[in-house]
Amino acid sequence: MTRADKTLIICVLLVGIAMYFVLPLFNDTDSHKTQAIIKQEGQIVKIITLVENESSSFKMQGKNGPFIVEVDSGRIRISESACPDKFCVKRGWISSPGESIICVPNEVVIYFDAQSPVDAITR
Amino acid sequence: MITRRRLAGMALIVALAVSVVYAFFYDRTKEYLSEEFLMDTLVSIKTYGNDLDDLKKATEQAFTEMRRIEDLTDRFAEPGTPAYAASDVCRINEQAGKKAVTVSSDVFAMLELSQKYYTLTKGAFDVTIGPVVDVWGFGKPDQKVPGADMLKGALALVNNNDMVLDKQNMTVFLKNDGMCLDLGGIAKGYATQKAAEILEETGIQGALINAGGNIRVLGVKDEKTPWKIGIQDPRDSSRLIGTLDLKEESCVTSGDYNRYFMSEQVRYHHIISPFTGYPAAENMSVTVITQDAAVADILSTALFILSPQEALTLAEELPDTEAFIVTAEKQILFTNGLKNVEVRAGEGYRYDKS
Repeated sequence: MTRADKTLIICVLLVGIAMYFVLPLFNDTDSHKTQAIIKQEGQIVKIITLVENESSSFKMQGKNGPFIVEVDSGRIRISESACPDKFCVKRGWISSPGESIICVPNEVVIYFDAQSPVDAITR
Repeated sequence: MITRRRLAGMALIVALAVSVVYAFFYDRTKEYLSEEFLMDTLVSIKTYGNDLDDLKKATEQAFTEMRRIEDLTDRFAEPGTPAYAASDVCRINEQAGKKAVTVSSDVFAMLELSQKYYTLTKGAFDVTIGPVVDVWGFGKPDQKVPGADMLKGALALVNNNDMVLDKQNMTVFLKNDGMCLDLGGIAKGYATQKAAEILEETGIQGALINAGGNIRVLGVKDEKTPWKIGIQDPRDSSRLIGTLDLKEESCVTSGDYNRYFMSEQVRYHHIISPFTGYPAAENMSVTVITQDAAVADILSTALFILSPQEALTLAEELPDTEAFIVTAEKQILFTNGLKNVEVRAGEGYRYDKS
């Protein structure tokens, strides 16, 4: 092994180590954008990037019946639902990581992508 | 000149070096998350370990166990269906006033525990509350404020002392016709506890089970970090009113804000006091922290029904039991033994540091 070989090996090693620390930083920059995730029957069916001063609403079909999702300036809610108890509608707007809307009859969960400050919320 | 042999050797060394570095730095703890709708809520199980397949297998077993408990305790199965025949609670209720029913060891254990806490809470926790829950319509499509006579009639059927448990024969008998068990205040906690035990038996070192806010943790999250649990602000769901550290424990919250209906601008929630027949009104939320998730479930319901002072006194008396209470007057109280609690009293809340 020549001196050049050794240098090469050390360089590769150093780059590898550096990447380990540098790569996660790139991943983090993405999470500044808030994304709401809609899951149906265990599958992610929609990812919505929430933007300030932008609103929209759309209809979706749940296991039990249709429901309407409303998005407005960084918050999201289920505004109408054909489910019997309507706990999902009563839940109202959610806007921070860790919060979620759950509709049991429709098997729908809406939550935020960003890291929550806690592991779970008791309610 | 680099010969072919030298090139091959060098490539080998580099590959080796990279894998050594990778193995050294790579976080070996893997996380496996699985969610399922059961027991009328979303249940999520998060497990941590080295082998993803093991985590998957253990989680599946835990869910199977929870589904089994759900089937045994389902109160609203249609008569004549296989689900009805599989539900111990349906069979017990059907035979109320008629005869004793043989039940599974799990339902028997739940009812024994219920009886114990009926006595300990001086009647605040009562699984024979079924007839009253029914006249309010909770668990059914339509909810309404019942008439006074109807409520009185239903309340007259509520009495845990009229539930006869025969341990020798594993039978349950409700003495009076029309009596009805409702395990809504224990089944989810019991299932959560059983799931945690399954995970523990399969050798899982770290796990968090969250059954719609009924939480049980195993071990630590990573390198001695305890699990951090937020307690929801009862009047602002985007806020936490406090945070807790959990370790090999359970915490369950009963609140007036999750399941309710409105009638003439009045909010009626689903935690009915067996003393009055009306939704309990002295607290906004009660969180109980103790090792067994079934006990935490029972006590969060019972303490919610009691007055804040009674609740606090009882929680102080019970061993290894802590409570965090938000009263109807928006005062925050908690037991002396509650360590690592961080209170974040929001607008309008009162919290006197002692």
